[in-house]
Amino acid sequence: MNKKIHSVSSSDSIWKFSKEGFRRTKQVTLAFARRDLQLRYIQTRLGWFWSIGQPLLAAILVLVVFSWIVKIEAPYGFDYSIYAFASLPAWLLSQHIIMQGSPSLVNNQHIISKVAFPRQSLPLSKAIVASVDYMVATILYFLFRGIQTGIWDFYLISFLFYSFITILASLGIAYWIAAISIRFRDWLAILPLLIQGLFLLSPIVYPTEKYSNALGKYEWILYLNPFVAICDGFRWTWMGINNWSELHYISFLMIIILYLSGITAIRYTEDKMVDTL
Amino acid sequence: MKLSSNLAIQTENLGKKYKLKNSESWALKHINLNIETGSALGIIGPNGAGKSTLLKILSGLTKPTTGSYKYRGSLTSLLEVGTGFHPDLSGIENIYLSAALNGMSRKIIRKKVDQIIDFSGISLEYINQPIKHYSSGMKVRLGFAVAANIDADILIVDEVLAVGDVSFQEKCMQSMESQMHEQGRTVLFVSHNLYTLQKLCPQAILLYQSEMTQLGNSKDVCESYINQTLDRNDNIKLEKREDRGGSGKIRINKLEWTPTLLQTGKEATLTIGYQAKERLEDMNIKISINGSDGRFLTPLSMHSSNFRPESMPANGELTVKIKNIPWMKGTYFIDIRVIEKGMVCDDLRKASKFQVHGGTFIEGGDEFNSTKNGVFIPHVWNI
Repeated sequence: MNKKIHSVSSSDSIWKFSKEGFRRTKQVTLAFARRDLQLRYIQTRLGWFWSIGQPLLAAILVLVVFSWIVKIEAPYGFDYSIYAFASLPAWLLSQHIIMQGSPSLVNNQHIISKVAFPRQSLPLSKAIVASVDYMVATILYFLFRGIQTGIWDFYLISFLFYSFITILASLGIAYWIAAISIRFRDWLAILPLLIQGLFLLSPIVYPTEKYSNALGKYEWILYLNPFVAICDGFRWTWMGINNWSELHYISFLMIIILYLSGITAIRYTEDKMVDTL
Repeated sequence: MKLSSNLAIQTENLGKKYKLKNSESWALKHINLNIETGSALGIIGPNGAGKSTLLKILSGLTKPTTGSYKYRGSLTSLLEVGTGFHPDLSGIENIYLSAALNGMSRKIIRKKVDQIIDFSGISLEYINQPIKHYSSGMKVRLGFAVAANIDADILIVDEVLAVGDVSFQEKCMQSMESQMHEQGRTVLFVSHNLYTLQKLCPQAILLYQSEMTQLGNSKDVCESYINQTLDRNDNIKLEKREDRGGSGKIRINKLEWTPTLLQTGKEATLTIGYQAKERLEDMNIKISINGSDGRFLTPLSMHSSNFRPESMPANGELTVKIKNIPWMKGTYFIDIRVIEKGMVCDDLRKASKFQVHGGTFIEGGDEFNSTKNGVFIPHVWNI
């Protein structure tokens, strides 16, 4: 009889971590991710083609709208498509995590009310699914940039770092909305608007330098957006554009705050979830 | 953390409070339990007594408001059959998904998957089809197969065994029983089927209005539960009932079963109390036992069993002994009519309601499960 003794008390803090909890998170996250990947293949006629098709369509749209119609130009004499597409895979990754992760608790409430598992597994599993698409989109961009410019270098560590913080920031947002939507479903209704706003406010299709045109000395407000750091990070990784300023610290800090507060939010609601749903 | 070595679960003053719109209510209060490793504990109680709340707390779905509990080893709760099943995924994919949600690692599932498929009895041509093409019975069987093969030191089971076809239910019960005995697994079992519960659990607790009112031998606990749920006031009501027919010369004032827990195939005695003003002669009592749908099933009559006392006291009691209760699991009603010298003196419809709690009519046979009321007759099969 040397099996582990577990203890649960009404006074447990939400920060009670255990090896067992970690193992369970991993187990359930992978099970959900596998389910979603299997379903994608079964339910859509084109299956895995969408992993390639979606970033391609997004790229064409960006090119048509922002380069041809709005005529935004890339700074430092870069080709606009290479400039704008640098952070596009990261944006698609983030969009996927927020779009799928936020309603994941409400959508799986029948499972939530019957099985106990760490609730952050659900949004987290969406991040794994999204990462598969992200890999495909990144390879596409890598090939596109290589063919267009003849540059084939790849900074792995920098790439991994910015991919990682993209996932952190998006998970933070998804955790927040997932936790709140347990009580207030309206947050799911405004989700598309939220994503659209985030896309327009982030320097994805336009250079960060344009920010100063808008708010002058209050420019820093726009740096509260975590995507400023992410977008500039990817342009630095792929194109070597170095436009870091002190204001970017705000953006990096926001990523950490978002993630930590998000995970707090979801852990806080975890104990009440079954009673509220 | 300390937990004495023979215990699997220990709870201390567990309680759960729910906040309603303007008030609060305790769904569970003061639960102190010590459950030994390798034992099976049944949990009984009327709806809303806190059974599900207790299960939810112990399985970690919700946090207790007061108190704490400790448990040894791994704990899995089965609150539903086929949790997490997705209609578009194949049988095998669903096995992996549901088993992982219930705490099995992929390595163990891989080892057990053949066993699970075998247990479910689903043919190999179907097991790779999406389960939306399955019949509902097949889905339930697949869910059961996963549940029956869950690997945990402590298993919490909520009435899931109450669905599915009978032979398969039996198979699950057997598998659970053998796991308990051979692997020293601890089981908590909630069910309304008192027969199954008694068969599986030697000990039980009774929850009533959020508190634990009894802990003990499951037969005793089941009896107090029935006493509580069946209209305890039936007999008082019987005296006061005015919707009677007949002349009113005699009044039936008591109809009571002993033991209170009636089981198919077991002995039982019905006590009938009556009241009149003078000594009675040539009295006859006719009882009909009707099913819950009002269908007439069984007659019990003094004269038809050739019991003809010449004279009876003005007040008294009669008993009817039934050696083997022939009725199947279900609810029954008693109609009673008293006749003296050919005159109907009292006539009560639905005088009393009783419940038969399953069991086997012929020793060693299976329990015959049906939602309908029915009567067994002694019979012998031959080759």
